Amino acid sequence: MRPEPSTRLGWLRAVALGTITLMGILTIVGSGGGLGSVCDTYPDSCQPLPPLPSARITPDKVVVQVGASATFLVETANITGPVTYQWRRSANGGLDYTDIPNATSSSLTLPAVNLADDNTVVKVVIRQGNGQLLEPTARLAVSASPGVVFEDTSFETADWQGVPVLLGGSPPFTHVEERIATGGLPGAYRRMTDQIAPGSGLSYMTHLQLPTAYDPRNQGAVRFIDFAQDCIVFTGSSLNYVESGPVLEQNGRSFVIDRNVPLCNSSSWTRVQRLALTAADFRQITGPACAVGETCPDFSLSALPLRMGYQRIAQTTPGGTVIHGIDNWRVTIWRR
Amino acid sequence: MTSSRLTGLRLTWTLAALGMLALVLGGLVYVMDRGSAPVLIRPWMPQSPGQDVFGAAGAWLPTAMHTLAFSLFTALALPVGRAWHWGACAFWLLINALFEWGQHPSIAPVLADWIDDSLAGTLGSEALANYFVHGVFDAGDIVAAAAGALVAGLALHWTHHLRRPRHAP
Repeated sequence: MRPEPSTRLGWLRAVALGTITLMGILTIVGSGGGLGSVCDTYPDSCQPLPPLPSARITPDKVVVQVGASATFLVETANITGPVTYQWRRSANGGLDYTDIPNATSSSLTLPAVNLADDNTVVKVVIRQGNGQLLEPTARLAVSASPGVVFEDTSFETADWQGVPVLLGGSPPFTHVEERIATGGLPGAYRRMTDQIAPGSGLSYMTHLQLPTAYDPRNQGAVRFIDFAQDCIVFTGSSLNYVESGPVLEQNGRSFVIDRNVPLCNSSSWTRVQRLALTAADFRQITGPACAVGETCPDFSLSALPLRMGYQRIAQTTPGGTVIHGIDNWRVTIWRR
Repeated sequence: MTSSRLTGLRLTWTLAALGMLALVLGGLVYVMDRGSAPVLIRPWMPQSPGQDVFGAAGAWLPTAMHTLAFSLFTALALPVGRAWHWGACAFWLLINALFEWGQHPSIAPVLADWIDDSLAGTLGSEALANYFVHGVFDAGDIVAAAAGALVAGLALHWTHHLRRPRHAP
């Protein structure tokens, strides 16, 4: 005998209500009931995730003069098994790419670039099997004129001015800088010793090169700045790390970069660099506030002279001492 | 199909969709702010979970959305009627409040002991005990559940007006 329609509907309704109630309660319990992750409540059920595959192109930005070559290298991490590479290039800022013929290795060299290559975006498509894994990008700028180079390899004491930066009422620290005749890369280098205050964990210094400056009104508007140095941290300094990037000084204001600041934490000389920096990469740390309508820093043709240098943020245990060095400081200014 | 049945069907689907949307929104808090993304979608998630996308709302949104969603689902499975529908909302408010209350430090250990003694070996009993012991009691969650139930009740109440057959003057 077939059940009456109303009986069937009643059963169906009961099953639906039971399922909904069960799902609702399971959702409550499964949520973990905390303000944090589900893993906080059920740690046994959460396995640590394997590290994600990653890839990057070095350099990620570069400026070269017309006629020079540009070389890019892809570095990968956490990728197991064989992969294939296909380099591609874009002439419209990364909207459309075309394959570069025969560019299927982990590095790419563009020989004898010309002004038509300016603002090229290169990308490498990394594939594993049939799947596309990663596709990091990099940018190439081409300059018609050579870069204006400021560099120091001998570090005469009188050529440099160290200025402490005290942020947020941080206690002062003791800083000593000296020229050491040997032990650099090669020859002389500049050694800095920071005695950190007991109530603090870091020292912050900017160092400006005194003899030279770049004057945009006479030498041209700035398009990009390359920064490079060899750095070292001497052992036995109870060090955590030293950050060191470029410093610009203009019209009584100091500017540093605050993203991807190079780390110097090796006990042997190590080359670090940041390439193709623009005005937008710099942040003011000292001097009068930038007025409305003013550009800070100003890289234009009417800008005031720029002095260059480097910054050092040394971090260690409160009261500790950090001894670090610099050699082969080099700033290249690429003009518009 | 008569127009009133068509309207009823549309309203049912609309309320079901609203419930699903609420569930997804509550789930997003776990995925975005609490670092609980399912393993399958983690490669597409930001590298560092716990981003605070929802801000302070992330603390109460999941409970409110859960109560809202399941009140609607339950109401849709019940006969059409205001009493049934408000009853569904009250039921889920009560369930959520009881589970939250069970996390209170003065109650959670007692509950967990009882679960261990009485339900040991039963499927899910360990998870249930963990829920009460490790979960964080927050009176704000009970308020959030009440808010979710109220919104669901008002939505259902509003649909009663739309379902009512209209006669030509």
